[in-house]
Amino acid sequence: MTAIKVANLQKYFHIYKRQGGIFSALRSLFNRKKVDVKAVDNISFEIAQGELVGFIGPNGAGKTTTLKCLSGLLYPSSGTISVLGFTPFDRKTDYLKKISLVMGQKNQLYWDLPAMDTFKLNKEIYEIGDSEFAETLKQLTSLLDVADLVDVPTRQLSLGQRMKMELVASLIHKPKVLFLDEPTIGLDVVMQKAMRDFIADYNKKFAATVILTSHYMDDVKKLCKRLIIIDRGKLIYDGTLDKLVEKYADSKFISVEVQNRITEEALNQLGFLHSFEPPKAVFNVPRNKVNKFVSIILNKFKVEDLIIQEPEIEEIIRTVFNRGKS
Amino acid sequence: MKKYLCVLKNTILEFLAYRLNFLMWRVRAIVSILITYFLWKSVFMTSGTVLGYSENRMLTYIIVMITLSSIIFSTQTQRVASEINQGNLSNFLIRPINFFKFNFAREAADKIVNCFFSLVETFLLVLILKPSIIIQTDVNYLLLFLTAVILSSILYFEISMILSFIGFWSHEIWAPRFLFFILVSFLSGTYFPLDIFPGIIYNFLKLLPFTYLIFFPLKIYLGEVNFWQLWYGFFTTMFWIIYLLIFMVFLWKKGLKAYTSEGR
Repeated sequence: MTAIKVANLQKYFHIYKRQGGIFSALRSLFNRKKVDVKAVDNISFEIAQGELVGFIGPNGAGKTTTLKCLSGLLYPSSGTISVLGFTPFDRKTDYLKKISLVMGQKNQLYWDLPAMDTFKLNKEIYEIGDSEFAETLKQLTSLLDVADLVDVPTRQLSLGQRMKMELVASLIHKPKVLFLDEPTIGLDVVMQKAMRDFIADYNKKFAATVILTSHYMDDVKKLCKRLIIIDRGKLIYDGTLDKLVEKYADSKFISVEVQNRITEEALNQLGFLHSFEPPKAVFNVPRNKVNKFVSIILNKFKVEDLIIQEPEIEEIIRTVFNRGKS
Repeated sequence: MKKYLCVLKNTILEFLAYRLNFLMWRVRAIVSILITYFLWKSVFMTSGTVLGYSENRMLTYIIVMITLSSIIFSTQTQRVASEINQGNLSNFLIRPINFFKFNFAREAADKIVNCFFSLVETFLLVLILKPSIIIQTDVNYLLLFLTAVILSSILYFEISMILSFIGFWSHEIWAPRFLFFILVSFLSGTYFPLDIFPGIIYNFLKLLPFTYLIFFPLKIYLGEVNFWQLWYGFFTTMFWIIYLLIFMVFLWKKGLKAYTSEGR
């Protein structure tokens, strides 16, 4: 079943341009240059119920704008969006009760009060029954390991603990669709992992559809089977992680350790040399030549160790973005 | 309804989170009463009446005015401006909650806290200083006074909310608010009773909403309004409440369009 359907979504912002300096600042009081910025430019995709999709792209690619359109915070310039059969911008109560948007940098917790007070408010806002509330709260706080912190004022929590509480507050109504905007931003590696595990758990336990944006590749690698890559408002890839590697990583890395002493020149004759730090040489070889290349090496040298590696995802994505530019 | 009661409860809890801060705030209120009280007391040392007000009428005016203004001018709506500017407004839009009801609950909590402490403080000060003030005992006047105070609170809520909506279009929200507050304090009669102005100006002021924030309820308390003036006052108050309500909702819709960049 399709949970989210986006067709030809476009979102333009009007901004006013102005050059630096005091004179142009004064001039801009009377005569401003209006510029249209295409934050999201003709994006279409569909997401099935229960899917966990990673949304990646560099800063300013349009990730957050797309999430805001999906959650009903921004009105699309054109195109249609349907989430669970609702048009998000109507912000109908029935719709809002089924979704949640977590923004890593915007908090809903009362700063001076314990997180519990925010949870209780959300309990009333989402009209959750007492027993259901108690049960969900117990589940979420134990999954996130914060059960003993719910009565501590928010201002006394660490960033990681606070982020976890934000998640509990946003999930207390068990949303069917969850939009996560940079949920791991500013967290240390251990806390990032805890968050990731939790998101995966939540996705499974509650059969929720999750869209996650991040610029940490680890988030996406560990969590999402499917990736949507956007850059400067345009969708440039939509598919599985494996396919992405196949499609864009047209070469593999072969690292070789050789027993006998060799010179860089000898290696250069083979071609494809990427780096050489004796006794280890790394070659970057096109996919279709890998087999042949390996047999040549095995014939020529006494090989101690040989590893064939797919390039790092970061590397691939960088190539994808660079291609988009040219 | 229950959700808004919860908002009310949480706002009161927020007040009590910083006990020392809260205490200092109350001390500030008491000191400002004392200063104004002794200032006017010394003015009356030399003459029996000033600007047509006798000593006990003026002292009553001052004491009730200070209590009233700490109730009516206390507001939570200034938070809306920074919520808009920092984008935290999204947290309200994303939850199934009515923005105005939410803020009204927050405002009510603020009034309850301020009302309680102001009344206690005023009561104590009156006990200690024993000023010769007029205590209104006519139930009719007291009921009308109470009604006027509630209407003034609604009126000020709207005015202050409208000021906060500037946040939709500008990041500079404190300067206009501060300027406006000085103007409002003056025009509502917190510096001196408005009827010491010449007739034309006083009649003009009676057309503005600000007169009805402090001066009008005070006049009722003093029992210095006739039947016709009561009608005129309540009618004008209601007119402004409805007019500003429409304007406030209009601005909210317009602002929300800017916030969500061009909605419907």
